[in-house]
Amino acid sequence: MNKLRRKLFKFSIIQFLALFISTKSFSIDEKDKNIWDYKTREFKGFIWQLDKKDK
Amino acid sequence: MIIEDFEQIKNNFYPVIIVGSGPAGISLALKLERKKISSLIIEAGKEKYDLDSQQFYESIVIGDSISNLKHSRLRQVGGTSGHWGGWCKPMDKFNISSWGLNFNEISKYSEETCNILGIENNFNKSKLNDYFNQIQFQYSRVRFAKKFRNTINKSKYINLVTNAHVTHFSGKNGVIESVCIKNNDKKYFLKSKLFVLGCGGVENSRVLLWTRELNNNLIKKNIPLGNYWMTHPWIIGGIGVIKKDKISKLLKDKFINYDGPLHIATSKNLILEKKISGGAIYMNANEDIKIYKEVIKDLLCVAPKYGKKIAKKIFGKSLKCGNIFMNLEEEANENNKITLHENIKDKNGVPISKVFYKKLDKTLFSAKTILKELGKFLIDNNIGRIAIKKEIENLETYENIGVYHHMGGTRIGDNLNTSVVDTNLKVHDTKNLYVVGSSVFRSSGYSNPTYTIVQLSLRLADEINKKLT
Repeated sequence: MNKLRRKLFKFSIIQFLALFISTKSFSIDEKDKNIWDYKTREFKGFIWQLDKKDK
Repeated sequence: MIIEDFEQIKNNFYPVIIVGSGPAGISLALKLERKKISSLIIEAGKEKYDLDSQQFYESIVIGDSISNLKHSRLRQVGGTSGHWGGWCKPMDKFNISSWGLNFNEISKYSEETCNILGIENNFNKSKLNDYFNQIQFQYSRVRFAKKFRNTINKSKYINLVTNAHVTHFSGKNGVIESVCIKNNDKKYFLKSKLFVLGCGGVENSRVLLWTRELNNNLIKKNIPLGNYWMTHPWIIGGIGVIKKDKISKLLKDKFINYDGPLHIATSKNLILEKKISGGAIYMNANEDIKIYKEVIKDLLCVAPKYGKKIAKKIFGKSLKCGNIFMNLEEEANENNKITLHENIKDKNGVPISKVFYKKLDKTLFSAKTILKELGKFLIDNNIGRIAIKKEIENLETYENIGVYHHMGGTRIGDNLNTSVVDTNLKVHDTKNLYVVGSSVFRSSGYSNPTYTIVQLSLRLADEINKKLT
């Protein structure tokens, strides 16, 4: 019974770490991704700040 | 009581003499009246606008051009409140962190300040993201001369003399004994216990500089009198479209919905992270139709598909479209200063002001950074698109359409080498001379100054009350 409890405990720690690391790395990716999300276009003396997807 | 002829009062004694009847002077006198303290307000101008009196505001500006100092201020009862824009907002807490004051020391006067200015004590701030807040100004219609004329005229405690030109203070060993006044070509010296100088963001420095010139034992040479003069650059930073309804969805019940311009201001976080000065952007409630259409046309050219979506909302209440105005903070710079002209004097023999003013690179860098970050925020949340003026960082083409707010020159602080008045607004090393008004501002923030001016006057009234009792 104790063995089972220990195993479950270890498993929950690993699960927590996996979740924590994946969330962290995802947030870093999101931040970096933002840099490439924008574009600019000059028109009549103004620099328009646009979304990369703007057409 | 309002008096025109100085002869009537030349032998009277008033425990407090206030120089200047603008928002600073009148707010102070009103609060002293509630404490049953008599004061005499000395106004150089007349009850109404007078061209001859206005000539005393003639000044020379060296460096970059600013709005004409003869016309941007009013020398009359009520001071510049006679033609001010009326926009009011307290300064942010971090704006005054360098002043040596606890924010609560002035924020506790908010309710009283709003009563004087006839506005609601409602200045909501809603966080849009880490960098921006939607903010709320209040609009005051108060003209001090009009609102308080009858109160002053009937008052037992407030006396106001017009057409009385203060030239300088006299005294010895840091004690001011009298103020020198010219009235109808006669010279008078009026004695009092306490003297308060509150005649504006240029004149306060000028009167003190002339006092020091005549008697350099009265005001110390080492205090930076006239230095760190500032204004609020007001520019059109770009153009754009902002969907107000999308901001409303984002902020939900925290959305500030009121008739008037849409105001968005920088957070402390953005200022610190990007090492910039602060600022607020606003888009007019009713933009010029021609500009409105131009912006839509431009957007249709640079991003036709997105532009078409926006064009469907044209002239709808939820779409803000047009110029992006910016109220910017200007960093205090020692070289921007008020001095006395070496040769030119006014009719009373006081040298006119010579103002050294140079536009700062940092202000424009800040404006560009603010707009770039705002552009990103609008895209990320599908709220709108903006375009930044290509030449925004070019100092040569930088057109400041503001410069009506004159701040600094007698800045607040504890250090004698970097400030003129202490945190109680008393001139360093004097016993009984105080300064009130925007000239004591150590930093400018982006908020219009009148609200803070009134707060400081009310606080000074409490200080004077303590001193006199």
